[in-house]
Amino acid sequence: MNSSGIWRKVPLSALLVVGVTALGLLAILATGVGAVQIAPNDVVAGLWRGSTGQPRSGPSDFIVWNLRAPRVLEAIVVGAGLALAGAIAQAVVGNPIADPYVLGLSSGAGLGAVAVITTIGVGVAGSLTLPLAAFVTALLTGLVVLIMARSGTRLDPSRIVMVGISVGSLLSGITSFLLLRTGNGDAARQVMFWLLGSLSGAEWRLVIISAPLVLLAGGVALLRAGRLNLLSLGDDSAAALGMRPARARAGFFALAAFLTGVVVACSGTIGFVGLVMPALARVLVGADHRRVLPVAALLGALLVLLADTAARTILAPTELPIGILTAFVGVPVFVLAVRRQASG
Amino acid sequence: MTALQIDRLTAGWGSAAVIHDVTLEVPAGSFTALVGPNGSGKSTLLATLFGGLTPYRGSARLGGDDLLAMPAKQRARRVGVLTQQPPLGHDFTAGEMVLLGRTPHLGLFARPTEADRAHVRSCMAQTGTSDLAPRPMSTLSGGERQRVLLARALAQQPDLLVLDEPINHLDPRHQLEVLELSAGAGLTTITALHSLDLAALHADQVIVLDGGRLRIAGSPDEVLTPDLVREVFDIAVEPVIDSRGRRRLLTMPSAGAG
Repeated sequence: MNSSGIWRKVPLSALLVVGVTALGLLAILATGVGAVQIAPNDVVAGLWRGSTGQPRSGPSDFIVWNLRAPRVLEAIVVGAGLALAGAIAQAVVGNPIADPYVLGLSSGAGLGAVAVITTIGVGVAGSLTLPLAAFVTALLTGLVVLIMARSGTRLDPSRIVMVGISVGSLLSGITSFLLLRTGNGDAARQVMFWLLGSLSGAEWRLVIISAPLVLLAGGVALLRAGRLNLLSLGDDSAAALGMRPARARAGFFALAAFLTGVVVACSGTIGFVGLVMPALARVLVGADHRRVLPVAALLGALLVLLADTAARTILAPTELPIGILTAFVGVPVFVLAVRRQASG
Repeated sequence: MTALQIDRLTAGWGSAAVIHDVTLEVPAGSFTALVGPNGSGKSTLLATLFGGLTPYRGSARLGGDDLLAMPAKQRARRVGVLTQQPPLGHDFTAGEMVLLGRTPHLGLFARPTEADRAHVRSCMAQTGTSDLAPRPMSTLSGGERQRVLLARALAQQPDLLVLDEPINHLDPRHQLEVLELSAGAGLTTITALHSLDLAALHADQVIVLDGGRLRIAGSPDEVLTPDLVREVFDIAVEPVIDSRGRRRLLTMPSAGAG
């Protein structure tokens, strides 16, 4: 028997309440974890004083509000954004193998960031230069892939995948070249961290910019989830059910590129979240995007929050790139999900 | 009941026309079979009817309304579609799949109402798929899938049913079942078919496409003659009368095979 949708009967509202509660509790615990351990009630108190602008009552308030809270929130934003981008990408090409990497978007963002690191240098440029460069190159890459995959009025899903993989490889090549060319060891280390993803650069400013953008894009996707359902059925069925598939596909692709740009700009390229979390969400709640999108976003947020907390504690004070940890969790989960589906 | 009128339709993929100046009529309520060798343009013709393809020129009118100029969503309320082995998306259940057939009737963000669900239930009952509702599409047999997808097409509440080789890859029992359910829906129907015998058995009208052009249209008896079948399909057929007195077409071995 196919096991997809084992929680198909559970109301979405119940799943969301449980998921959001779990995420909130984990976020409080994660904020307390680190070189200085802070008890959950002190975390909550610190968050309260920070968010209401009251004076700090000690050094732990500084750690909670200025150092860890933005990082924890950014992990949630990044995880949700990656999972949403992946779910949208998979519907756009009607194939569970798609994610921001496969479509070339992550490599595009990576190139933009690495170009800034190895040429101008992060120190010289303003702190938002690098995120902005990553965001812009992700969008540009999306545009290039769309234009190259298009033929006449048609936008063939498998062509998007092929063009996306090719463009992604090309951009990765350029990125490697830039990396080798730079004689600056510090820049090389920054690049490596960036390509494997890290939230060590999280700050309130990034959270305040990225969270509304991810929420906005997620909201748009959720409102149009019915169209994602049709799109996942392929062009003929989508057209037969009253949609113009090429147009919708281009629109959703742009949305995925936007999400990828925002997220990668904040965290570097984190693998597997966009691929695995939508697949896991479908195993849990079935194929309907009205349920898949919010559940995948929650799962992505949970995974990145856990992975980032592990990344900054396992070898503390050394930080691990987060991509290593998402791969460790993501790959087994994905293989398991694929095997369960294949046995159906 | 609404009739379909196609006038001098020319269409193709990319810059190469596949069908040329096809003019035909599907009378209101009739079950019309579209036959022709592989590559004769059957799927191309049908794709223009449901918006899968924009024709170069010509017109298609359903009950007098221009199908080709119609907004996609409005057209999807008039034309229900079943193709052979379509992709199934990320494994919807049968019930979800049929509910997707209500999409053209829903508002921009609207969720299906109880009336939509009731309609879905009746379409599933009509196609004998009610029991399959909770099962993922990937777990269904080929025949079950096609019945579910037929229910989805019926859930569109169409005036016209467009079927593109709906019984390919099905075993004989399911071929009959899907064809009888389609014909039994009582809608104006145009279906591409490979089996000349099933076309002879079920169709009110048979249309023969050859090399992208309309060869002949008429009742099965008039159209499916041994001479015409030899010319178009390059095979020999023998009309026989079965035990219930119906004219059937027996495909004969090629001359060399004795």
